Amino acid sequence: MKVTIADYGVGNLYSISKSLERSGARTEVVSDMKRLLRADCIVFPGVGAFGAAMSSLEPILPELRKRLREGTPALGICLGMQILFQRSEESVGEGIGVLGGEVKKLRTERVPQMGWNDVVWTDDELFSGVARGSQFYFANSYVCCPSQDIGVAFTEYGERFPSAVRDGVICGVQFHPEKSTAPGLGVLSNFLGIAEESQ
Amino acid sequence: MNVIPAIDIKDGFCVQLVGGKPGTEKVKIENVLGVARRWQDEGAEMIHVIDLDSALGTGNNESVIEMIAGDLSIPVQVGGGIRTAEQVQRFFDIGCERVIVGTRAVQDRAFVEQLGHQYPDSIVVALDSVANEVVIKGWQESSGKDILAVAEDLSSIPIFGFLYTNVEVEGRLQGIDPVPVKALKESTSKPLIISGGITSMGDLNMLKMMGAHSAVVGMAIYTGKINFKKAVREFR
Repeated sequence: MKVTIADYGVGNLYSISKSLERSGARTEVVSDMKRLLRADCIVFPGVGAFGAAMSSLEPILPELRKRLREGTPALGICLGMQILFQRSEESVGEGIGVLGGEVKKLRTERVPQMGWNDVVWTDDELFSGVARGSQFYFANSYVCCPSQDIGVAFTEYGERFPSAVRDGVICGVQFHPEKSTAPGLGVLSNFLGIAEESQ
Repeated sequence: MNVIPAIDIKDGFCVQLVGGKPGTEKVKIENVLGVARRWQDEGAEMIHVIDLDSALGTGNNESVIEMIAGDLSIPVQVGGGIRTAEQVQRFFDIGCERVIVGTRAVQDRAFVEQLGHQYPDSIVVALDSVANEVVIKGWQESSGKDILAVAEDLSSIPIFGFLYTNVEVEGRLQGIDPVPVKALKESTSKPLIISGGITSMGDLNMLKMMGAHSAVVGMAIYTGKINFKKAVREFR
């Protein structure tokens, strides 16, 4: 399976592309967002800010939404998960909006959350085979508030928030699987499985 | 409490020095990435990488650090001779999670303030001390500043926390001195990452009791005094 990683122009994408490769994918990193429209599978990585990522996606937004709604599998990581929703308190302007709901700032004093935290998941394919009790690495100030019941994993940090969501082949994780050792690689490889099944 | 393995890099090698002094190498390993991977495989939740050449002004090992940050599937905290905003940015760009600033942070509050606001909760201020005085420039000079006063002063800035290194016990495998750690804990509510001299599970236990956020272990895990795999599990 070939995975296309969106490069919004900030941060190192080497560790996410390498983790996907370790999980069995071929990867390409594209900075020309038009190339996302020809992708078989998209990863929106977790680097940068909501507004900046959306402004780089803005030119292709209507076609991108159409592709995702028609069933192109996608995984959003951290910020990449947040931009799948309709809007965010972080920046004005719209998100990709293929998932209903919005992104809100964590309502606790100590933001961002930086570090390892517990994730409790439901019986979802995204976590299949991952050892219960595994922790994942988080680095976020904002969390997603879905308007539908798409949360498949939850985490507590001042409040309980969905640390993973899944609506068919559209998946989002608030933690960084690429920095969460074996459990993280497990989630990436399960996502690839979900994507492959849909082809 | 996180137990974090240290990877100190000099001339491209993973080394362990005594008291930070060049020429006192007790450990010298060529395959730095191999060492980093080994600690990751043994359960490390983060890796602490220090560029000794950059700290001592004898060059830099940025390419090795970039290779480590890109290769590992755990976060990397990096430090050593980082004195400009451009260097800080570069380390975040190559995928490091936390950047440690020492010398300049102690001398230039405005610099810490700027970085803290630009990268909230991602900057660590290194407080390296001999007695109560902060030492700078790769531990070669004294800043003339009192460690507790510096910690108190910088605590209002949105930095992640402080890295405290007791230079007097660093690399000597003789255990920690709890007194300054306790004093520091009382002068700031920020997370404290403690390094220098941690030699036994007893030291780790003492740091945990004192409320340390993390403990950086170097010499002790390279010489086998501490079984890293066991320590990381026990204190997780």
